[in-house]
Amino acid sequence: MSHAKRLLLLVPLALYAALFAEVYLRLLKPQPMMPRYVTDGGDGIRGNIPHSTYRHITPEVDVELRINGQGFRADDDLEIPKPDGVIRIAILGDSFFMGYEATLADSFGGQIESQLAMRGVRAEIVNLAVSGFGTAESLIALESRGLAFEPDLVVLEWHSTDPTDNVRSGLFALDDEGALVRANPTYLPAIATRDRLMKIPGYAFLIQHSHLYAALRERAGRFVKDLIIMEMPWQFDTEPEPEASAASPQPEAKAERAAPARDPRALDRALVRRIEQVARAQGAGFVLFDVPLNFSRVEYATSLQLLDPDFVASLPVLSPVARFRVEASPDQKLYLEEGAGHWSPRGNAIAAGLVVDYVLSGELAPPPTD
Amino acid sequence: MLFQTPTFVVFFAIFLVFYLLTQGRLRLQNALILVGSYVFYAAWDERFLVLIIASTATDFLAGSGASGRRLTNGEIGRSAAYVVVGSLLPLLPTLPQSGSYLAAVVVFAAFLSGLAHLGRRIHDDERRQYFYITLSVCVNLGVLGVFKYFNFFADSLVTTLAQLGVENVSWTTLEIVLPVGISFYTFQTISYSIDVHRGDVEPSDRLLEFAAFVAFFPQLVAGPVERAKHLLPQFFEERRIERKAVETGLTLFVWGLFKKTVVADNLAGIVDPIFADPGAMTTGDLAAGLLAFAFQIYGDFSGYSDMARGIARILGFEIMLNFNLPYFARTPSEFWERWHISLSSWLRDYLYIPLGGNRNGVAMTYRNLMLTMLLGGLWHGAAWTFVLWGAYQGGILVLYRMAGVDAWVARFGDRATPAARRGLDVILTGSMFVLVLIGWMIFRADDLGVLGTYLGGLVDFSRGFGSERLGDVLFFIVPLLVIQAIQVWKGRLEVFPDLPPFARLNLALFVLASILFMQPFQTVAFIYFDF
Repeated sequence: MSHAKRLLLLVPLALYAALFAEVYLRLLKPQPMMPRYVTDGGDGIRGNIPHSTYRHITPEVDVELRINGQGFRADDDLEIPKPDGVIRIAILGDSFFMGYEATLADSFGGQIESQLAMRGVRAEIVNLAVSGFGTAESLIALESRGLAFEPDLVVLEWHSTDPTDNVRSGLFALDDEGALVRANPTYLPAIATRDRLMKIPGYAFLIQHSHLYAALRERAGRFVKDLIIMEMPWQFDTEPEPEASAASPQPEAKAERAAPARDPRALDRALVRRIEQVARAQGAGFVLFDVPLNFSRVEYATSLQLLDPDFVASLPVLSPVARFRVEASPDQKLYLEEGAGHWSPRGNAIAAGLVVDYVLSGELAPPPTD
Repeated sequence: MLFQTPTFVVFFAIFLVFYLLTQGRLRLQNALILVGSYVFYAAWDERFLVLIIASTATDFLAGSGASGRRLTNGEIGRSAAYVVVGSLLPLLPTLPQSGSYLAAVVVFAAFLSGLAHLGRRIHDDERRQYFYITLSVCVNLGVLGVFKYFNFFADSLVTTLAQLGVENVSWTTLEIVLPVGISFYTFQTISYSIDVHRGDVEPSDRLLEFAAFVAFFPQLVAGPVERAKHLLPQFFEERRIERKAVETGLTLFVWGLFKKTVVADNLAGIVDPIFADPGAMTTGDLAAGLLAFAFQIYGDFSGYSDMARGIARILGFEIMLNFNLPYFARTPSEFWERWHISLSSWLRDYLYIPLGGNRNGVAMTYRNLMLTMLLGGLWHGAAWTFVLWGAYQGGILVLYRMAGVDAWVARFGDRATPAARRGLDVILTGSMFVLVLIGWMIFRADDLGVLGTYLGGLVDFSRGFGSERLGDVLFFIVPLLVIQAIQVWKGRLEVFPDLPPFARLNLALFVLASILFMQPFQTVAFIYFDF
C-alpha cells in the first residue's frame, strides 16, 4: 500500500476512533457539559460573551446561563447611572460567584438579590465574576468594568485556586519594596484560539453536546495550566501560613522566606488590599468572602488559611464555614458532586444569606426606599 | 520518574534518539544505557546512586572472586575508581553539603579494595570463593539492613525492652529514607555472585556492561529481579530496534499502563478510605475493600512489570515474566509460581534450596517453607504485618503440602473427564482466591490493630452486607478479568496479535480511551517503590 493510501486510511480511522471515544464516554464516563463562553473583555482580561446563552448539563443539573449585553450573568442590562433607592452589590470572583451549575435565581448573586428583596431592600447585583478569574483579574474587572455601576458594596471571593491563578496570570507583581505593580497588560489564555473556533460552524454545537470535546478540553486546560505554573519563577507553596507567635518569632525561618517580589502570599495580600482600597475610594463597602474547601458532605474548612492570619484579621471577612457545618448532613449536598463541584442551590442560599445579614446589620446602611 | 508521567515520556524519547544513533556500536550503546539509567534513578535522589555504584563495584569484584580466579590489581583499581568517580559526579552539584557522603564513599572504596586484596591472599580456592560470596552478601544485605530495616529493629527492640520493664532506653532512630529499588538491585547483584560461584554464569570482566546490567532502568526500581544468566549476556549481543519488537513492546507497555492507571489507581481511591477506618464500614464494604485491594496491588505491580518488559523489548532486550495470571492459581504453590515470579524463584533458588529444600524430611521441608516465606514477607517491608503475611503464606503452603493437594490435583487431572477437571479447577481457584484475599488483608493493614478491626468487621455480619462501593470495584476489575479470561482461554498472555483486526482495533481503542479518560488526575506512585 502506498504512503498516500495509508495516510488516506487514517482519516476514517481517526473518525472511527473519535466516534468510539464519544460512545465510550457517554456510556462509561459521562462528562459534565460546562462550556465557557468567554472572550477578550477589551481590558486585557477575559470577559463573558455578551448576549450569549448556553447550558450547563451534568448528571445533577441542567441549567441555562444567560449573559446580558454588559457581559454579566443577568437577564437585563443595568442602568447607568444607578437608579435611586437601589443598592448595588458588585461581586468579584470566579465560577462560584458567576453561578456555574446554578440557575440565575439559585445562584449566589440571584439569592442575594431575592433574599434582600424579601426583607424589603431593593438590590442589584453587578456580577463581575468570570469563570477562571483570580484576584488579579478581579482587580482589573472592578476598575475597568465595575466602578461605572457605582457599587455600594464590593464582595471579593477568596478561593483556594486564587494563589495559583494570581501567579499564573502574571498580570501583577511586587517590586523590590513589595509594592503592587502591573506586570503584563494582558492575560487571555487560549482566547484567540477560542474566538477562532467559535467562528467555525458547528463548533458551538460541539462544545455543548460532545462528551469527547468536553473531556479533551478539560485535560488540555489542566495540562496547559500546569505548564504555565511550572514556568513561573515564584516560590509557590499552597501550604497554610504558620500561626504567628510572639513567643517564638523564629528569625531564621523568617530569613529563609521568599523575598516580597517572589512571594506569592505577599502578592495575594497586595491584590486583596488594592481591591479594598479601590472600593473604599469610591465610597463602597468591602468584604472578603471565603469559599470553603469541602472534603465531604460534612467536612468543610476555610480557604482563608492560605492568607496570613493577621492580614485576614485586618479585613471585613465573611465565611460560610460555620453555617455549612451547622447544616452539614450526609443527606444534604452543599456542593455539587458530579460536575465541577460548585455550590448547590442550598449552598448558594446559605452563602448569600451571610451577605444579606451583613448588609442588614448596618455595616452597610441600605439607602431609604420609596 | 514514574513510567506514566510526561517526564518519563520526554526522557525516553530523548534516550531513544541517542539509542538509535548508537546502533551498531555496542559499547557506546551500553554506556548510554548506563548513563541513562543513572539519570533515571537520579530523578528521585542522586545521593542514592552511590549505593547502586557501591553494590555494582562490590559484586563486580565478588563475582570474579567467586568464580575461583584471583582478582587482578587492574580489576580492584578499576572498581575502586568507579566507586569514587561514579559517586563524585552525582554528588558534585551539592558538594559542600554532601562532603560527608563523599568521605564515606572514599572510605568504602578503600575498604572494598582492602578486602579484595585480602581475599587474594587466601590460597584455598574454595575458602577464597566463599570469602567473596560473603563479601557480596554482607555488603548488599548490610546496605539493605541499614536503609530498610534499621529503624524497624531499633523500634522493636525499644518496645520489647519496655514490655520487659526496662524503661527509659533511648535509641537514636536515624532519619533514614528508603532508597527506591534497593530491595531489587541488591537481590539482583547477590544472585549474580552466587550464580558465578555455582558456575551458572561466567563472571563479567567488563565493568561497564556489568554496571549497565545492575542499573538497567526499565527494571531498576521495581523489578523484575533479573538473573545475570538471562539478562547479562544480552548486553554483549548486537541489538537492533525492530518493528515487531516495538509493536509488541508498545502493546505490553500500554497494557501495563492500563492496569496501573485505570485499574490500580482508581481502586486505590476505594481501598484507602476503607482501610483507614475499617471500624466504620459494613461487612459488605470491607469485603469490597479486600477485593479492590487484591486487584489494586495486582494492577499496580504487574502493570509496572509489563511496562518494564515493554520498554526493554523496544530497546531490544527481553526481561523475565513476573506475573502469570496469579489469581487463576489453584494452590499456594501455583500462586507463587505466578505472582512476583522473579522474587519467588529467587527465594526458592537462594534461600529455600540452600536451606535444604525438601531434601531432609517432612519436618525440615515445612521449616524451610516457613523460613523462606517469613523472609519473603520481611523483604516487602519493615513491619510486623509483613512478617505475619509471610508466616500466613508459609502456613498455607505447609497446610496444602500436608494435605497433599498439589499431588492429588495432578492425579485427579490425569483421570477425570474435562468437565470434572474444570469443575474442580473452579472450586480450587475460588478457594485459593479467598485465601489470597485474607493474605492481602494482613498485607495492607497499617498495623495489627487495624488488622484486628478489619477481621472483626468481616465476621460481624450484623453490620450488613450492603456496599455502595462494590459496583465501582466491579466496574474497574471486570474489563481486566474479561481480558484475562481470553488469555486463559488462548493459553498465552500476549493474545493481542491473535485477535481479528476489528476486535484488535476496538480493544486498542477501549484501552487507550480508558487510560486517557479514566485515570485519576493525581499521579499515584507504585506500591512496590516502598519495598
